[in-house]
Amino acid sequence: MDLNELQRDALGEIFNIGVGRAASSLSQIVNDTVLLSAPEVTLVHREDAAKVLLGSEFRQFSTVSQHFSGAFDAEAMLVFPESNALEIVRLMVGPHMSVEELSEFEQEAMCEVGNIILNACMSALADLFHLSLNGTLPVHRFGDTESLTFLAGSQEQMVLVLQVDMTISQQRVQGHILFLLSVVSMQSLLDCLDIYLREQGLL
Amino acid sequence: MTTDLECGTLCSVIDNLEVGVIIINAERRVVRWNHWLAARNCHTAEQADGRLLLELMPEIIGTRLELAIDQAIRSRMPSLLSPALHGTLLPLYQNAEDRQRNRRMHQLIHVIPLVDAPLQAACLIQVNDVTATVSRERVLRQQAENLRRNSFVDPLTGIFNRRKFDELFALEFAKAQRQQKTLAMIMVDIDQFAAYADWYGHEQRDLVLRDIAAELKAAIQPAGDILARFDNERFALALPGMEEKAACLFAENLRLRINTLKIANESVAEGKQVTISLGVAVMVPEASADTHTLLSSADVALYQATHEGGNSAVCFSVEEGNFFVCG
Amino acid sequence: MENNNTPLLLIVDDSRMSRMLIRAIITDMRPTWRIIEASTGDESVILAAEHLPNFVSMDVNMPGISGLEAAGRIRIRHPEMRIVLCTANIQESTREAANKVGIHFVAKPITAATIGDAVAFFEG
Repeated sequence: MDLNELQRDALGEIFNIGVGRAASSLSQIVNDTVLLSAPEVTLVHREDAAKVLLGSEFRQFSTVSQHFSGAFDAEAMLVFPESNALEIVRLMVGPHMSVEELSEFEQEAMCEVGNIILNACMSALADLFHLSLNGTLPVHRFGDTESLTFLAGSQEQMVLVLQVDMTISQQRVQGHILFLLSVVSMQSLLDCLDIYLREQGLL
Repeated sequence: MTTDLECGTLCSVIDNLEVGVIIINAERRVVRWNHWLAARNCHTAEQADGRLLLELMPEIIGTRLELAIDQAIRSRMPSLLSPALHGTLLPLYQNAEDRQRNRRMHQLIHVIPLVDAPLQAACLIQVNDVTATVSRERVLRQQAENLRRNSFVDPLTGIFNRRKFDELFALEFAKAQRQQKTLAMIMVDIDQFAAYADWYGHEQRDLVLRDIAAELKAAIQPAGDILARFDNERFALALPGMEEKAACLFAENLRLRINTLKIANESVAEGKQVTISLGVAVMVPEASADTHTLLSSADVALYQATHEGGNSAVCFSVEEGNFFVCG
Repeated sequence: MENNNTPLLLIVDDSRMSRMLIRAIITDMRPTWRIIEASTGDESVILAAEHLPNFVSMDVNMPGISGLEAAGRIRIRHPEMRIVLCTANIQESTREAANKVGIHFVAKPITAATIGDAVAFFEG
């Protein structure tokens, strides 16, 4: 299973609309420009998703995940190297934070950042495809790639990987958004996408 | 097996919860306002019942909570509003004294879509009082902030330091390698800056460094480009996706921008103003290449520019192995 | 260019889907318009100088120079060209930057309504 050129481009563009909206919400909170872009979309098998993350040479991750269900089921996850996640929260909260261990608050703040970004991405899909998706509340976790439980499992699953570039208060942090879908759900998503493209006269 | 509880019992449960509960319908009118909330706000459940939430709490207008409520009702997406980012959004007070002094409690807010009967009850807003924890955190926070910032920001210019540059540059390089895209590198040096510092002193020297850093920062695209203070008077720029021609134009443009700042410099014989030299190198990194190749290419180009009189931008063509003046 | 009778529109977007969408909607609304496309800001500056389009529809977030920068460069040389920024980046700062240089602004997603807004600005 792979994306054709138009599908890849279209998904990239749709998610960029999502992250554009998320950036706007985040900038409202920090009262400063927040730049957010998701320049590339790739589709990989679940086993290869860890490699994408490991490729960034970081071992410890901060993740925020939400489950979405409806026309397709997806586990959406925002993944930042742990140090980058700390950076984001500090930049957002302002200069009151210490380097001391990540507190409960910082976890919640990260949860909120993830919530804003993931909701915006899924809303962009839902809006354009005219579907309704149900989402769960965000959950924050720390861990290394081995303990990212969603990457293990027996069922064949696909992962849509988006690299995200985020700039707050002139500081730049990089991370990934992952959407984990079963093969069936992935096919449903692609079907929705093709219907959308056809409606627009692009297919 | 669970037993279906009757409505009255459930309402009593909601009222006795140790968290604030607001339930609104699709029109954003209050259908439930529990005791916990009433005790911490000026409205009783009777006063709140049936009224528009934004009318009861106008402080919600224009905040993320308003968006979150919209998102819950329209798109069924739940949201969390953290105390760190929103603090004391709702007018809720632990006691009368706090209310008098307008000292609101710190809140953790969950906004949850209710999908079973959206017309009667579309959205649940749950509020936790986290004031005690927040105060404890405050005390812990103060100290190490400077330490942290220093670890990646150059304190004088406010742009990235060398360490952070090396880290980000390595990431960009690997990305360019993976995608087989160009990565441009520009090294910037202030011409004869040691003489300037001798003439004007260190304070003035620092001001110039700051001005030049600010000018460079204004020129880059903050979302993708990396700018850092490389060492004393040298700055490094990494520009992902930029072709050689564009990088040369960009470097030449930077040179001109600094010229137009017209920073007086009596310590030099010619021109009498502060100028910069720039070294440009651009490559699509092969699998075997490392960051050093690109860095040193930009560095030799800079050397060439500086030693041919300064105030120029020189590109070292990695492919052809020759130098040419930009612009 | 050779045929100056009908308006020429330059579409700048790194997404092929967006270019196709804009082209499809414009062709529908204004069948006589001629259309050229660029996928980066740099390319748009070159094409604008070469073909002197009447109108430009410009994305903001693109690899290389940003759409805002490209629009600025085009605007300096060709102040008569009408430029619309068409972007998912809907922050106040972008809006302000665009307004400052007399550039109109429409928010993505691209729909008949947003493109209609752009066309009204082009012709207004």
